[in-house]
Amino acid sequence: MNQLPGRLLHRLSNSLFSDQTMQRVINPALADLQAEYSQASGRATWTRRRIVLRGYAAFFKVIVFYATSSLRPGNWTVDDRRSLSRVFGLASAMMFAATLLFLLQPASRAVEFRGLSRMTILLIATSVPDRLPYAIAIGVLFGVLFGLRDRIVSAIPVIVIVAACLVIAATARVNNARVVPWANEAFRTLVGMPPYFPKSSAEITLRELREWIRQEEDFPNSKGFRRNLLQYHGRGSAEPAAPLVFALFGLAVITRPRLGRAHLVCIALLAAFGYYVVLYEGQSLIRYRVVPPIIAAWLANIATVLAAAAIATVVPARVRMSE
Amino acid sequence: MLTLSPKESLILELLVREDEMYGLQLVAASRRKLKRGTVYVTLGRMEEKGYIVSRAAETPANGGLPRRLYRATPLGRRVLKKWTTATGILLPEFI
Repeated sequence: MNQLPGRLLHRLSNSLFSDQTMQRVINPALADLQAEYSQASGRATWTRRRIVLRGYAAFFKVIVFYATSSLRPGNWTVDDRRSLSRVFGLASAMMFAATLLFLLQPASRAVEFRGLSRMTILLIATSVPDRLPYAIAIGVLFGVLFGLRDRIVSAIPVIVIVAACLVIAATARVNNARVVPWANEAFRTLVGMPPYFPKSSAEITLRELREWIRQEEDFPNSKGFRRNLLQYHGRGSAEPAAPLVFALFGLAVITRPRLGRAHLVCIALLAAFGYYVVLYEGQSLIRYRVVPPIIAAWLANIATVLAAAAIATVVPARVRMSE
Repeated sequence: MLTLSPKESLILELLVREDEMYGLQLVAASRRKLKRGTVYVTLGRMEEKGYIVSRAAETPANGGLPRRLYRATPLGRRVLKKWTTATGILLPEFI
């Protein structure tokens, strides 16, 4: 099969899908691609390229259709349901605990300002949206690692977890773009700090931030302020992807040979702390112009996905997804 | 209860008519009713239900993956016959 297309896809699929799925769904689709390519051997290069592209498109449609048809609740096994309820239950509990932990600092500040009163609760509440995306990401990581520990990881929980994280990422993006600036402004107003004109960088939406950054390009003397805006924008746009990135990392770890609880706790804490450090250090890289702002903003996500890919490539899987 | 989706019914009709076919032949013969990206998932589901069987064709000389040939089982033929009769009685105006 040296010169035939689809060899890499076949190898990748073979490590992900069960023998039955390979035989019934994946192999026939790739065999069609190879047969069509062989039949076109004497024809023009662009014709063969078109055949390959069409074959790849058909292959990816097969994968998507297979994944969506597997998701029908009728196809879920008892194990799938148990795995998912464990993952989401643990993720919710950890998210709640992480949110409380992250609220300790603003809570102590609020108590300092106002003592214990109704206003204090309002002040703490305005800090929740800012802490939520990272708390959800930590919840997802622990949920995946401990919810799927000692369980057979089939395709359905994996697809459901990734789909849920995509929805969470989209919601977190709206949260960072709209809710966090509003909550920051509310916090400042409640503690009676003087009004900024028109608002501070932390109080404007991501769209307004982009507009400000564009306007600041015309003023070469205000580069420090522009970098400050870039920092806010970078964090606001990259952080919502954290739950998805942590889910991929968790799935890469949990489908490798079994690890003890202590090892998993260490891995989760290292990943969560490492992500946090790189996310904030990445923002400093924007300030000191070490790398382009977009790379610096997404550095933590890129590093975590690369770590997941490295684990998945180097360490052999203990299970195949659709078994 | 044994049921047939419109696609399953079409595949069985084609296989009963032609005896044995490749997936791409089914797509071509269906006049765009079956899609290349979905036909193998439907065929896999039908094989699970026992309506069809498949076998690998000969391995190509160039070492590529062997294609699969599909054939209707006696159960599949019976289900198609009953299904066609039932839909003919229940929905005469659409047949």
